[in-house]
Amino acid sequence: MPGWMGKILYIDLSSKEHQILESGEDFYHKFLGGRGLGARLLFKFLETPHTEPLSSRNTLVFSTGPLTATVVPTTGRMTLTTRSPLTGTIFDSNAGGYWGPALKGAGYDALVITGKAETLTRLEINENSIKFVNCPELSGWNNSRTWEHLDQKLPEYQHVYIGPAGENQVYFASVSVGKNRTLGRGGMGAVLGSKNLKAVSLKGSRQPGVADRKRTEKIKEKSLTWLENSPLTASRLEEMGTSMLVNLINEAGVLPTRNFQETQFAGADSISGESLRDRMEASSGSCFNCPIACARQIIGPEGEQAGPEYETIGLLGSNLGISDPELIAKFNQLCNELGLDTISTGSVIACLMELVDRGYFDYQISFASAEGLADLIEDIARRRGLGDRLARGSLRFAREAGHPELAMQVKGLDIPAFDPRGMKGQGLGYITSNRGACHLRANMLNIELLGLPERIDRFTEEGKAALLIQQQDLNAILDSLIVCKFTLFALAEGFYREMLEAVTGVSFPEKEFYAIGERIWNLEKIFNLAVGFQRCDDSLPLRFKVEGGSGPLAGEIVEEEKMLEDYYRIRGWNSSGIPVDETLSRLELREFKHYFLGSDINDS
Amino acid sequence: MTAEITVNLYGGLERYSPEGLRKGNRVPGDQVNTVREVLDYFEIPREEARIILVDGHHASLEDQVNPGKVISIFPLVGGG
Repeated sequence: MPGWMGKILYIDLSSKEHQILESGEDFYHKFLGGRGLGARLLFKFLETPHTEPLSSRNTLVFSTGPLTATVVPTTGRMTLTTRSPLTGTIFDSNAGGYWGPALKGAGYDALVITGKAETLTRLEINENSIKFVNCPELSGWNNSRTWEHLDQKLPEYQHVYIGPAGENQVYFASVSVGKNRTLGRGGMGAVLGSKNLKAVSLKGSRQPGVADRKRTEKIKEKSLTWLENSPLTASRLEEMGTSMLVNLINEAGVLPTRNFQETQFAGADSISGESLRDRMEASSGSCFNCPIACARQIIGPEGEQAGPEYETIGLLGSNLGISDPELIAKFNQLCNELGLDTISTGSVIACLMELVDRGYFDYQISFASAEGLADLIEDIARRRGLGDRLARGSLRFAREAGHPELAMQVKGLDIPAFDPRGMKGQGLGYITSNRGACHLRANMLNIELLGLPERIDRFTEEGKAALLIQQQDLNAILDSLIVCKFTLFALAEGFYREMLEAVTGVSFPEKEFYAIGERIWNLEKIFNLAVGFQRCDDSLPLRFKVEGGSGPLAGEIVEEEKMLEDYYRIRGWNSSGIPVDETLSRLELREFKHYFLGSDINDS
Repeated sequence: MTAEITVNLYGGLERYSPEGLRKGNRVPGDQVNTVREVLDYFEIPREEARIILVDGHHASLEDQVNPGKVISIFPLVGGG
């Protein structure tokens, strides 16, 4: 079966037993790999979607895609899928680096982990063996120390691991992949922590088969040429990284400032990619088989460290009113060391600042002041004092403080650094995303702000549902192949289908190809319906519906109801947001209907 | 004093500013009427100016610019 390894490794940490399972072709053809396979396997192995996210029965699915570890550019990515403690939804996250190819190297498309180890444990997996290694000595270790230790001990292996935040089950703890890539969002690190799983190390020399080597090689060359011919993927991402967006987003009036109370920040230029480039010595880094090399390494006080990405600058910078790039770099480094998602960390602190500002909560903290912030971030990861309360995320914290409307989130996931009032399609994306407010489920930024491939009116709600759905389905496919979304800056959509066909030798007619994305989206939706999410959960915080923003966003609000009506209709869902029978049949998902029967009235 | 137009040149386009300024370049209002003339004023090749905002709103080359407006010009940028 070219492209796929055909094997899935299942490990139970409680019993220390493992099984090697084989999945049929049909399974792969319908869900591809990565995110799609992750969702499908989560349904297969999770006793029920209601499983508590931090209980031993929750299940982690690490997966690769049919293009992973092939010559196709940017195919070093891997996915982790589980039920998130932060959102309660199904949740997947993908990262680059070299771990994905190593999983295939060991002979598996996916690694499923359930149960709970008695003491802090790490796994060593290769083609011939699976080792459970007790590692209580690594308890509380920061990420760089853990990485150096693992890299020294097992230099031939690739590693994923968690920091103190994961061990302490912070609801937005991240998982580190290799030296400096991250599964950032949704608190997956906490799920590893709840299982006493500190690290998973992999090695292997197996390679996926390729059906048509000549055609694959040709497509590789063609996509490399395109990537080299786009100024973005050829050099600008390498020179400035994602932080190049700051000035544009600020001028367009969609840069979150002071917990989204404003949408332009006077200090934006000082924290922009241009300023960072001028002020900090930096080098670039890349993932497996990737010519884009977007990762920025900067020289900090303690040597080389990851430079802050755009989202981090937004959430730990402007959204806290902080305009000192050195401070943002410091907080970024701290979050990376502790294993905290920078978006949710910034968001929960901004929420606290606004609660204090309005007199709803008593604490010494204020916007634009960095005093005490480093300690507070450390307290979140160590679950000390107020940090322990913040560690459960902005929505739970704001609810406890009596003001849930001040948590800038959807379904518990904190809103990234693009204000939906100036990008209505992006807003609908936040509302409908199956993992909560997320900018990576659909590329509305490209369409609404960057004008790629062509610009449409960002302020209107009109017509956004159809565009968004197309993007959501396409991105579900990219996340399942798995290729990096940055290739979309240079490659036409047709490339991805060609790549898949050349590598697997399977024919995917265009209609069928796009149906895969739609199928994955609906399967994720079914999970969320099963655990009780309803139409009322598809909603932005009040602020975005009643208050305008700054500059071009004066008087702009999001009218979500109309967009939602369109969205549900085009998706083939009823007015409660439930897939109707015809949709389930068309996508071959009827067998999942029993999961949500009774959760609402299905009027199909 | 002639009323002025403010021009921001981002993402490397600051090299077209006579003072090498990223923010706050000034153009006398009577010297330019359209976005296209602003580009010509700084001798910025059209293909390099990929995103143009006038007071935060996307603009095209033929759009009028009036004194007091802020024009921000970007090359192709991306990320997220």
